[in-house]
Formats: sequence, structure tokens, C-alpha cells
Amino acid sequence: MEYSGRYARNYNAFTREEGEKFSQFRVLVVGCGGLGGYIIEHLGRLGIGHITVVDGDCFEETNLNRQLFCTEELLGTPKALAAKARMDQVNREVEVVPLVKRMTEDNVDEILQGHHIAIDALDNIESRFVLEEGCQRAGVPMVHGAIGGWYGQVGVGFPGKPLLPKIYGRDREKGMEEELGNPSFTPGIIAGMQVALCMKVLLNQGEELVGKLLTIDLENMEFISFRLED
Amino acid sequence: MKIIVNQKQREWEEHQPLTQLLQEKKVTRAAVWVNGKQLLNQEIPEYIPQEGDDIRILRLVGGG
Repeated sequence: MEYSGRYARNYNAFTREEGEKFSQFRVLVVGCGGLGGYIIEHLGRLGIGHITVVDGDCFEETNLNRQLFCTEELLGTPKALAAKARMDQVNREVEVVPLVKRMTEDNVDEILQGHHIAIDALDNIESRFVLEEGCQRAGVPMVHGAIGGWYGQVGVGFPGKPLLPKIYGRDREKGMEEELGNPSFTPGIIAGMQVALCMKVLLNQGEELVGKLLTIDLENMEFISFRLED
Repeated sequence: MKIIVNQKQREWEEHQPLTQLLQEKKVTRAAVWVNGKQLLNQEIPEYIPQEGDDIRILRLVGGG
């Protein structure tokens, strides 16, 4: 691939050899809301070659406070289609395939096919388990991120080393997010960290991330790394 | 006595249950590790912190 000036600022952060791989990467983003919007934006601007984006919901008024692709004009529009339209404006070199559907146990294996990595940008714990279990079957790593209020967390589940059971146990009920709210600033921070983790895994620099969970408390500006034992 | 909570040392009165710490932090759903071992959900309400315990509390959030 011939590099144009648009990627010039990727370098030094990445080597040219690493950057030349970006167009070959195929990334699945499940959820195009608070986390997903920022994740897709980052991936597209980095020049990731293929991004499949999955979300069955349409934008509604309560999304306007934090979801990057949600504008007053797009209320009622499927989020996955809005993500595709946005990336068409930002970077036409990136192929974005929107799937306007909910990811379920019935379709997760099919959706995962052909991707190097999946990013969990979902809004509930139960669906996150569906995605990670699919990733485990497919042998695909999954970058997890979750938010609630001033709090968030990121980590990576690797093939044979799933992450979510170590965090949530067997409990698949809702977390504290409903009582904590969803302000504008938390999704962008966690999404940025998820994309950084995604790039490290894609570039085979993710070994030290196994069993590690980073939690962020923006209310007290505390960043704590948990080592989750087997 | 002294305990460590999320990497910070603090005072803790003997016999006070862990649930008091969760209430203080306004945590209604949590994963808790004590000295590297994760407590089961049903163990959380029963646990009484001991001198020197290294306690990690993670608010369980699932929003996106």
C-alpha cells in the first residue's frame, strides 16, 4: 500500500513496518454507542483496513450526551449505519461493514468469522459473555471495556484465557451503570484505551496483558491495575 | 488496625464487616479480592477484614 500524508502522524508511535500492516487488519466492533463510536473513530483514523460494526439499535435523544456519532439530525438512524457514514467521511481507505442486528448466541460465530480481534463495546454483561464465549470458540482475542458513571475498566481475553468470568463470576445481571449514569467523558477515555490494547494485541505486543484488568476511577483520579489470578 | 484498600493503607476498626467499607464507597455491586483471592458473592457480606489485609474492590459496571 502506498502511504499518503494522512498517516504521517501515526509514525514514531508506530514503526513504518507496523503501520504497513494496519490495512490488513480486520477488526470486529460490537456496539456502536458510547464506547463503540469512539472506538470506530480511532480505528478508522489509524487506517485499520476492515472494520465490521454491529448494533441493532437506533439513536435516541438520551444518546446525545455522549455517543460520538449521535447528532440531532440522526435521531432514529441505526447506529451501525451512522458509523459507516461517518467513516466514509473520515477515511475512505477503510472498509466498514455495518450489521444492523443484535449479536446473539445464534449469530455470534458467523459474525466473528474472518476477524483478527473483537472489541467489546456492548452495554450489558450478558451480551459481553455471548461475545467472549464466541471469541473463545473462534480463537480470537477480545478487548473488553465497560463503563458506569465516573468509572470504567479495560482488559483483554485471549484464546484459552477468558477474562469476563474472572471479573463478573457467574453473575450476568446488570452492573451499577444505571445508578451511576453515563456522562460524556468516560466513554472516550475507556474507548481510547481499548483501541491502544487492540493495537498491542494486533502487533503481538500483548503478552503482558494476560489476566490484567485496569480500572479507572475518574472521581478520585485513581488508576488501578488488577492482576486476576487463575 | 491497618488494612490496604485499592493500594492505599487505611485504618479499620476490628470486627467491622467488609460491607461497611462497600457502603462507605457507595458500591452496591462489586467484585472483591482479599490478599489476591476473589471472594464469592455469598462470602462478601460475611467477611470481616483482618489486620494487614490487602483488599481490592472493583465496582461492577457493564455499561457501554
